[in-house]
Amino acid sequence: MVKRAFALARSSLASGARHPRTAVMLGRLLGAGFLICFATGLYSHFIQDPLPGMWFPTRPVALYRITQGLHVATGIACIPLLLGKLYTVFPLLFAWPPARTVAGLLERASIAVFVAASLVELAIGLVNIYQWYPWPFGFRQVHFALAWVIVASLAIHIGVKLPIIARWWRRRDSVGADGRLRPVGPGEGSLGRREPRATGLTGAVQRIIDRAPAPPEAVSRRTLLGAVGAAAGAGVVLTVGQSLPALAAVNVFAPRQQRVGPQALPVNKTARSAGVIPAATDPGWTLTVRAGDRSRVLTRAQLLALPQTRVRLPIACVEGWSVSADWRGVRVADLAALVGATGRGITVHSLQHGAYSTSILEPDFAADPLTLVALEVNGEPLDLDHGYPARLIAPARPGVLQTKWLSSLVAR
Amino acid sequence: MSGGMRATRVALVAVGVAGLVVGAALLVTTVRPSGLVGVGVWLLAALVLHDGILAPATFVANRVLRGAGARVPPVVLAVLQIAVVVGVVLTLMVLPEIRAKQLGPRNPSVLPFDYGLRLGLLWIVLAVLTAIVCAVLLRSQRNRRSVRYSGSVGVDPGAEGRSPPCHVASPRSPRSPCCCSPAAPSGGPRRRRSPPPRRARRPPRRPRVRCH
Repeated sequence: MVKRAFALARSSLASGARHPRTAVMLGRLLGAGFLICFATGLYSHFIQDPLPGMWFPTRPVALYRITQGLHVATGIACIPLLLGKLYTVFPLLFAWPPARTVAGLLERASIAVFVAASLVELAIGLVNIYQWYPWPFGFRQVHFALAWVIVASLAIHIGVKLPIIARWWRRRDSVGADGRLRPVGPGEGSLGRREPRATGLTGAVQRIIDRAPAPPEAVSRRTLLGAVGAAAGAGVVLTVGQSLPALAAVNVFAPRQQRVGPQALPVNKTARSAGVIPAATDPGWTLTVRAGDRSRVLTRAQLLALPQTRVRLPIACVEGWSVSADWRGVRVADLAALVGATGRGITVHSLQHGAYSTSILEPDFAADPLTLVALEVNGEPLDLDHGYPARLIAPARPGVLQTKWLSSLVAR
Repeated sequence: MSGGMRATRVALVAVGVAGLVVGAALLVTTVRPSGLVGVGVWLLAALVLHDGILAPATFVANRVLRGAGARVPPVVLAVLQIAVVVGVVLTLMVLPEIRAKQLGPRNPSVLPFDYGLRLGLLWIVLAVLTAIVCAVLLRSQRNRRSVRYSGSVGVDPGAEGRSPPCHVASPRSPRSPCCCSPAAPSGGPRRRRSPPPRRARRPPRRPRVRCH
């Protein structure tokens, strides 16, 4: 009974679009997308939690803006690519017998893990950029761990399917002289075909399903590729304006928009949610700079009296959005020189408590002439939500490390 | 299989198994037990939602669309299908955003748009664009057909005896599947039912598509 039902499913699902060449074409795009997401994701993870001995470049200044914008845009493009890839290979779910060998069983299990992890990873990644967390686990830990599971499963999948991938990789091996796709031989990754009409109930169902005319195979295939391409293109173009100013005008669905927020900058954590309003608005606020026994305590007026530097740097969030702004303030290197800490790394402390209340400036970042204790943005004193009285701004760093509401800089 | 390919396959599977160990170790060491149960539930739910609901729904929708569009040229049907896929995929992506906005963003710069309204407008734009493209396609097909029949060239005289090439629906059996596939040998024993007479009188369609 199950065998006949599976045969019916395979037969009904047979379509011109379900050809190993299509699976390879979509699969290599999806594989590339996953690898881009993995590489940019690792960069983002380790720049926030570096392992001992890790080093990160300070140029280009928009480096994190680019990697994280790419991470989110690629992830969005992967959603229709994944759905299209799964559509292509869906009949394999109904293979009979489900597995012939132990190795075959393990392979199917690894595919189940691969598919489930990919679906969950893209779903929680997408919903995370909406700042909604409807799951009972920590986003960051699970997103990171599943990324490893996915890339590992991808390697296994490529290893298992390599002969089929190689067979259908190139156009000239896939298309005959007549311009049609070559038939799928034994062991070349058949994705099912129409079965002879069965009898009984399954035959009756098959007749109903087969009553609709099937389009020419090439049309089926191009419809699938066109649909996946159009959906991926639309998904990216209608959201990437949150990180790419050139496409801000067609930002229809992104969770952020360029220049929407106080002082034309989006905000992630507000002063109210950080619980810093009393301390940040206290007229007696000072910034302490310390290196060992030497320290200087500076009021905001004293900071403003020091040499001011203007820089144009992006604020780039892990959630993918990024906006450039004009910052004005005192170089961290100049402040470090006041206490003889030139060339050393610096720990930056905020008035806020909890996660991200401190961040570490490695020596390269602390010495960088573009790294500032910013006092103004876009020509005005910092808004309270942007870190008034003073915040850190440095090149090539994620927004969560651009500490706001500073209290002290301590040489390491 | 060449030795090089075998070595590559073994290496890929070995790297993959090592990576799975890393992923599993990360899950176990960084996620609390209650969270791990949640991860398991989500993974299982993803499979059920996709394989049990989304994929069958896609199949049924595709079948209904093909059944309803039996007399529409395949290319026009393809444009319709692409539009539906784009609309549905974007809807799946935007629905949680609408929900997140309902629940209340943390500050006014998060989720600043009216996403429900924008999704509605997207569907309208998609419908209009699709209608325009389909109208142009239908008109160009009609024009080409009238040119063919006003001239001296009628039906390809050789067409009757041959199996139809992949990109041309034969007037005799417009429903015959493409001959690209080994699964559909034209003229073979699995040839479909003959089309209704109304269709047999229609001139041959020449959708402008090619195989890969």
